[in-house]
Amino acid sequence: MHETRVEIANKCFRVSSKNPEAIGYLNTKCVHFISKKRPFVEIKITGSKKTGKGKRTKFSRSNKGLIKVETKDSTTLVDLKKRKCLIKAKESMEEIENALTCCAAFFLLKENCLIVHASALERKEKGFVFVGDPKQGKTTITRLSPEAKIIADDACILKKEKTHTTICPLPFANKCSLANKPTNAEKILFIKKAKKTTVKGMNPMDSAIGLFSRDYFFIVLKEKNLFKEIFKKTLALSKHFAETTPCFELHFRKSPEFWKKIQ
Amino acid sequence: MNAKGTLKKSRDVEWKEIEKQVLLFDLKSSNFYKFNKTGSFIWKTINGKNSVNALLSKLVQGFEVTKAQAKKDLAEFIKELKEKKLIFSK
Repeated sequence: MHETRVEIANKCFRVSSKNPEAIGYLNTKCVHFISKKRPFVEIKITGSKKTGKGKRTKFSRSNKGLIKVETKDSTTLVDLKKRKCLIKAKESMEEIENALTCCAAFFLLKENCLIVHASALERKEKGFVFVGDPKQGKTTITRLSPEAKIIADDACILKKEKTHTTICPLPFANKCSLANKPTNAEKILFIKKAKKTTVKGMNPMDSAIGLFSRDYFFIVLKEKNLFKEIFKKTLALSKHFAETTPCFELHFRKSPEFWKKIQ
Repeated sequence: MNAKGTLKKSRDVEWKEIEKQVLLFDLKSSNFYKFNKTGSFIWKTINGKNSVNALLSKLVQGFEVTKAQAKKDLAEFIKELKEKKLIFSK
């Protein structure tokens, strides 16, 4: 068995597999995230003979309390109590990364973290989160900011601290150029493509809705009433993030000038 | 509307108070609801124990409003919440 340890939001995930290529890939992809810490979660990856039926991701719960996540090419079993995961996936790294993101989302929620569909940058030691729907400019913003370090280009982790919010990078299914360390969130910007760049303050109510509806679970869990406790927590965390970090609406025109407006 | 009857919140909702206003998420429909201060006050007072009459008294006490106006507003709000299956009569 081959293994690696990946640290995400200060928690160590031990990933093991008989497939040396999968572990080798993770070691390269998560080079800034390799850890020697005691594992917080154990994840085992095995092969799968799935036939590729069905397109929608399906979530269910077994009698023993295990969470089962089924996609076209993989099945993931999450045991929240024992902090163990079993991923049965075809040898596609994309599929494995998606399953690992799913595992991370479940375990990090307990640690007051949300995975949000957003890009995030560190500029002058301050963290900026850009939340938005696809094609609104989240990735473009990271490309237009060569002086900033990319925390995440598609999905980042927001973590609740006592009085503030921190941003942590997520190494799976994502591009990160920053070493694994939390950055204090200075501003959260809800980005919309526009002809002119403007920045307008947002109230915490709308900001909480915006964050909640771009959280990983909101996007992937379709049958929301089956996972009530998850949404109870994600709503509470969204409220905390919206109340502790100034939020803005950013109407964004593709030009590096936008930083002047933000700062 | 039965004035002596009580109302209960649906189990399929999650809500939080943000700046004295209630943000409600309906887990069944995935809809969000933002209540104004009066709506938020009523929502918080619905607990499966307070009768509709008690809600009305609390509303008149808490806001500068006539009993007739409060009764009308309360009836409309309860009707809407029931239609959306966010509350039900106990």
